[in-house]
Amino acid sequence: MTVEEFNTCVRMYSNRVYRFILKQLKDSSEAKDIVQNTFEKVWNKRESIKFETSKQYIFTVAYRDMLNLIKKNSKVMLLEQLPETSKTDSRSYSDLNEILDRALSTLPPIQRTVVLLRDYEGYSYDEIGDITDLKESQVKVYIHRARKSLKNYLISIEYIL
Amino acid sequence: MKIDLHNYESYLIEYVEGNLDKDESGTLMEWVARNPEKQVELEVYEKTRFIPDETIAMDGWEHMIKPGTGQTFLKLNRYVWILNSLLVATIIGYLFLGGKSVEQPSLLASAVTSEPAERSLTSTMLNPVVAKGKESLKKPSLTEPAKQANHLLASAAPGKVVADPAPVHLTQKLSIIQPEKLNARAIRQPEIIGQPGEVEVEVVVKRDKKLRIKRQNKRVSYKVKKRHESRPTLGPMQQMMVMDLIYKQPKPFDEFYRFLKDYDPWFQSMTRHELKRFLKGNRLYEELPVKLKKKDRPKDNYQKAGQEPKIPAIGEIRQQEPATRRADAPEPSQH
Repeated sequence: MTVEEFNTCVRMYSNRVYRFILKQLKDSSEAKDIVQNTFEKVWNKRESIKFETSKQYIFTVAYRDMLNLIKKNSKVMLLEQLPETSKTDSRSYSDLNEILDRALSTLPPIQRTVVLLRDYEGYSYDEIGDITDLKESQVKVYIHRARKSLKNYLISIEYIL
Repeated sequence: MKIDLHNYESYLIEYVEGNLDKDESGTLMEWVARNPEKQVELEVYEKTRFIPDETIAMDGWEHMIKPGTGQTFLKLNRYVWILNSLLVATIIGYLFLGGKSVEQPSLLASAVTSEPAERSLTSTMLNPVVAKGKESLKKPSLTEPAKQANHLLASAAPGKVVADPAPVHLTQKLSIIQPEKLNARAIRQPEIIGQPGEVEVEVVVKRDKKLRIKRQNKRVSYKVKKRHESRPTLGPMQQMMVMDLIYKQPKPFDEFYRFLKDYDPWFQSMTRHELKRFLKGNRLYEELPVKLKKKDRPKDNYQKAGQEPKIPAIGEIRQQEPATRRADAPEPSQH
């Protein structure tokens, strides 16, 4: 990867990676740190990275950095650990995105990751498997579970109905 | 493809995911039309797709852009230009200032006399200048002191870095990179003993998981611990006086030291350490009476309580007498 190609990667993917991490960590400074670390690693290894596969590499590095940070900060918030009120919140919401964000935060981290990679970046199951180090079938199962959980959440708050 | 109430949900998800082809999608839509209560569910599934919010952007991402090849080219050009100018300046300087050795007329003559071009070019080559006594211009190498310092730090016990008996003469700052040889305690609390004020060791600590050092390239500067300056020992006259007084005025060490200081101005500059060393050297320290510890001292209840001493009356003493009498004492006569 040349310097110009690296700069193109920064222009194309920095904001995408930032959004992807921010959606999961909910902390802009940490998300920013992860993006910067990611591109620093890419810069250091630019000789061995091809431009065609750089996007996947960037997301993989960012995802692993995020996992490390979650482990470090113990920010894992499982569905079972959430208070009951968050599951059945009957407040009225004007913005669907806001509700979806809340629904997303109820998902386990791995389901959150695969859904966001699928929806935000349009990755195939195979590519998501490469990034998250999962099998294609596992990715599919996680996405199915995530969609079901999201649907149940949306129905439970009676927003749509 | 058979859709029923048991498996319809997975088909709905596959549809939302875009994994169904045209025929399969048509079949699913027909099934949903026959089951209108599932229509709502399909709509909810469609709303579970996340749309990226383009308004969210990372501020400062431009700083990650690296300077491109254009700037590198400019930089290269600049360096080439500087090198060229230096070369030209050297040639001009050699020709006009130190050019006595070069016979210009002959050079010109050779050019005029249409010598081969190669020969004229080779004649412009500068001869290597050999400076005499350049060894004396060299600065003393830092490698040997650095090795010494490394050896000292490596051989140190945990928490203590002790120099060799031979003094280490390091007059310049050193950079010692050997995090694996130092432990965290040694880095925090070093104790380097050497010539006072001559050594300043600078340890560059790299990140090391074993040592639990998280900061990279942490620089810690140490100065050699100031050694106790050698002071003039007691003179012969003073020694005689001390040996005389120690028998005339035997006192515990602290009191004896204070006594000496008040006794004669000669002892004004004498330190406790100096006196103790002299006494121990002459086996006189053991001759001094030992100052009793607090618990061994006779109890002085009056001072302790801060009260006036209570003088017991004669009658009280008589009343207390039987109680204080020893058991084996003969009983007083009844007469």
